[in-house]
Amino acid sequence: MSVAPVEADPEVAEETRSAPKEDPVWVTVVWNDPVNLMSYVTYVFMSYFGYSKGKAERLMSEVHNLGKATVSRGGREQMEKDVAAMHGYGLWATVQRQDG
Amino acid sequence: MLQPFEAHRSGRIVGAFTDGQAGVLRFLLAGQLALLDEEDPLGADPDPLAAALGIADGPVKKPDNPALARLFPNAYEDADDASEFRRLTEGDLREGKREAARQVLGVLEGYEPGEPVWLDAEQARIWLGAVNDVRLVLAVWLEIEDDDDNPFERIQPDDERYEIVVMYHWLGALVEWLVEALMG
Repeated sequence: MSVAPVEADPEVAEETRSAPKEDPVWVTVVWNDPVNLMSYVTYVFMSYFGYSKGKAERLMSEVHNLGKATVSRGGREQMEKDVAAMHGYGLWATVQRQDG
Repeated sequence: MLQPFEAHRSGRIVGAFTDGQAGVLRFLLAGQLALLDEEDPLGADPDPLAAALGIADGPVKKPDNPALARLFPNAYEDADDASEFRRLTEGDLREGKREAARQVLGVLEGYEPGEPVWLDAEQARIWLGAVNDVRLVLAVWLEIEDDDDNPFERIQPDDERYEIVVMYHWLGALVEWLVEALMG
């Protein structure tokens, strides 16, 4: 009797390669501005990110009271997409490394 | 007084404007379109492929015009990252904002005072974005830099900017009405 050769699972190998533990996490930060209305900022967070009204209002309050809030986190490409979308809505947003 | 924009039981949003209000919106949107053509990173006569992709072929700096700098802020603290982000995104962002302004302007051209404007949710989102962008630009001209700054308190009726203050406040009301109608 022979033992069938163990085949490498390509999906596992791929996952390990593309998501090493040291991959940096990036964030989208929205900054307070004196012009956009609170209701509008809440609407943007609900409309673009699909956040609940409660979560959108919490983030809006954080922006308003603390000057900024992290509104999404993930890979750099996705954060650039989110920041471009925020600029499309007229919000002031930046891409940052989570630890930076 | 006409109240622009309210949710209708049909699910659509309905608005109506006076002749003066429609005229103000047309004037502001035409100005917005002219502004969006200034300092375009794709240039006046872009390479067709670059234009189709919305990508500039060289580094793109922050616009000198403060109103454009407000509409297209730096996305990164690092200057090179910010420039690269602009190169890849600013062309598309400008076109999106132009398209929204054009759509609203299209509805208001030949508008009869009091005539209802019917908007589905997607059209209302476009109106909201276009109106909000114009409001951001007026705020730059009014130098509003603080949450507690009410320009009515420091700009008097004899100031040439007073009309801009009135328009700025009215656009704020339009934004509130549209958000309320959209979020129900």
